[in-house]
Amino acid sequence: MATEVSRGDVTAFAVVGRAQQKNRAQRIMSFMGDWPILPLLMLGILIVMALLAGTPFWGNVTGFNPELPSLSDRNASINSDADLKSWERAVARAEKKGEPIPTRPHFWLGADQFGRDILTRIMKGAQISLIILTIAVTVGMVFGTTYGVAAGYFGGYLDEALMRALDVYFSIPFILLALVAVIVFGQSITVMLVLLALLAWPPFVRNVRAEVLSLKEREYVAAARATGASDVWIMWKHIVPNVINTVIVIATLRVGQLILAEAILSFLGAGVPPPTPTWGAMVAEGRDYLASAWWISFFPGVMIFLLVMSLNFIGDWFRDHFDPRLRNNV
Amino acid sequence: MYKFLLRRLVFSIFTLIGATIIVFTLSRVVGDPRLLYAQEGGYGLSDQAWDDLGVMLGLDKPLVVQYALWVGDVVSGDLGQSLLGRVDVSKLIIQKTPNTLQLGLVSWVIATLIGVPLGVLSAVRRGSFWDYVGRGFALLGQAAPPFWIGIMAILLFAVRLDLLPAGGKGEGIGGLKNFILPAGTLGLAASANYLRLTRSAMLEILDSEFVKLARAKGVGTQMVIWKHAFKNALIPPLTLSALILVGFITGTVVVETVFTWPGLGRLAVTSTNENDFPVMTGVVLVFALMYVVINLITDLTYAIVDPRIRIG
Repeated sequence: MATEVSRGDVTAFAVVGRAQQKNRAQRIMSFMGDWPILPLLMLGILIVMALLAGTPFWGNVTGFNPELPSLSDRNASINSDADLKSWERAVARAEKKGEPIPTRPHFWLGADQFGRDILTRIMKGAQISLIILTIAVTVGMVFGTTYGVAAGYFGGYLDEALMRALDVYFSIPFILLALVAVIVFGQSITVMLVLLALLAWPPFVRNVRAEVLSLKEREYVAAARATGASDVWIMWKHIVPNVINTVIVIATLRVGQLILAEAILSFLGAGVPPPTPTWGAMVAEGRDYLASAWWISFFPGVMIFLLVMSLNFIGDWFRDHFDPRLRNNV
Repeated sequence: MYKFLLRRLVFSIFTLIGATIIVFTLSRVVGDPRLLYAQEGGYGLSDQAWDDLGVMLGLDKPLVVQYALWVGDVVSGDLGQSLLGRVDVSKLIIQKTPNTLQLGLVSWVIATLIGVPLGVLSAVRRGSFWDYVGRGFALLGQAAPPFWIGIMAILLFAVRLDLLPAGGKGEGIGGLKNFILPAGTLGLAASANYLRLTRSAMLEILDSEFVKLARAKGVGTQMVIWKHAFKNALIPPLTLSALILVGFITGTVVVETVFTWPGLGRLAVTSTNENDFPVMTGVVLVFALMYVVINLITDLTYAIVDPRIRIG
């Protein structure tokens, strides 16, 4: 009986062997990587976003001030010209001063309830997000990696204490922590930055620690120790360079989540205070005008969606190509 | 198994203590907590009232005693009074909690009903039309900001088509209509997560030796998919359930704000906007408690489903 079954097994595996190889190859490909056009498309979106955020370098493209209200242009619809009279006044002013006459501004994406151009505000919002996110991710990355390396390398009670502290940290929903912080400290860019940095670091810790646990048992670490290298030296020269791959992959995947978090906080009125435009706050402002001016909420939301989607996609792609082991963790 | 559960239980208690310490510390960070109760720029307090407030909050006692007293109050269910309206915070919370729980439950059912079957389909029919539908859905659900989805749903279904109510929580059978938009919005991101995880778990299992053996033996396709593969592929989504339910905590804050749902999340946001610190503290504590309970239940189900945990 037993031999029969095992003979059956052998034939079965011979048959499925080829199929299995093909499956593995497929699985290594990214989540949606079977579509070759997609990664390029996503990269394109990211480039367009970067161009939008780079507007201060190519001057005032749209001819609008993102924070200056214009009452005659309230809720101006998509693809409409700015109010004729205010433009005529601007032309008259320019003629008086002998300055070049401005062209009549055009609302490509409509105007919000204060008559501010949505496109200009989206560009300005992209800058704000970019600045906040870069700082928050960097701080979170450095802190999280240090925390993870320390926990993994020293082990023992320190490791246990650090990991339990992390668990407690996880038990408070971030958004509530953020809301309490806004009550206590008030709204400002600094508070936003600190909050996002606080949100950014934990995923780095768990994955980095897991890597360090195996790295510290390697021969070259033992060799370094035998030659009298200090702990700090070993961590900096032998451990950190080996976890950098993981750290970069997590950072890319984390940015998308941070953008969503920032947008959610801004939407709830706990973000960067007005009139500074942020995409989340812009969506919130348009809520009351849904019936008459849907574009106020629509376009900033589309921007968040496109940005997060492309970042997630590129992040997945990075992970699959540089660090496939992370697949189930991140 | 008992050892495992006991360990988790002890740990949950520590988590709760940690959460209370964080909340307590935050209330003392600004220096004088009275500043939270009487904001600068208000009508101002007389010196007498200021001192009375200090005595009421127990500021004349050492910090440790203050913390102990505060925890004692919290444990006995006294969370203080709201600054606006002087209502007992515990009363407010008891009034709002059922609404949030109902919304969370309905969303969770929606998320599971969409995410898990679509994930299985997507894995079984790999590379087919349904696979692309599933994967597109996953990409969309994870990237779309929930508040924006909610607002767009209002725009489409309430403003343009006039099919569903834009917000609030109705009464009786008619009130079921009010559930559709908020629960759908809240469930969307969660179902995307479920889908992704079910799909990858299913693919892994379908590729394993025992499934191939079953297939080679001539077991029917349906039998292999549901009996051999699905049962084993269920473990990762099950562990994810805790994460998803915890994610609902953030989700309810957003969705309840968008749809003016009278629940805890909206209470949190309104109390933030009104600088109502005692209410906010109460909500945070309730959510932390929910977090601990959800995790305990997940650990329990996990231990029941996966025998390896019971022994380890």
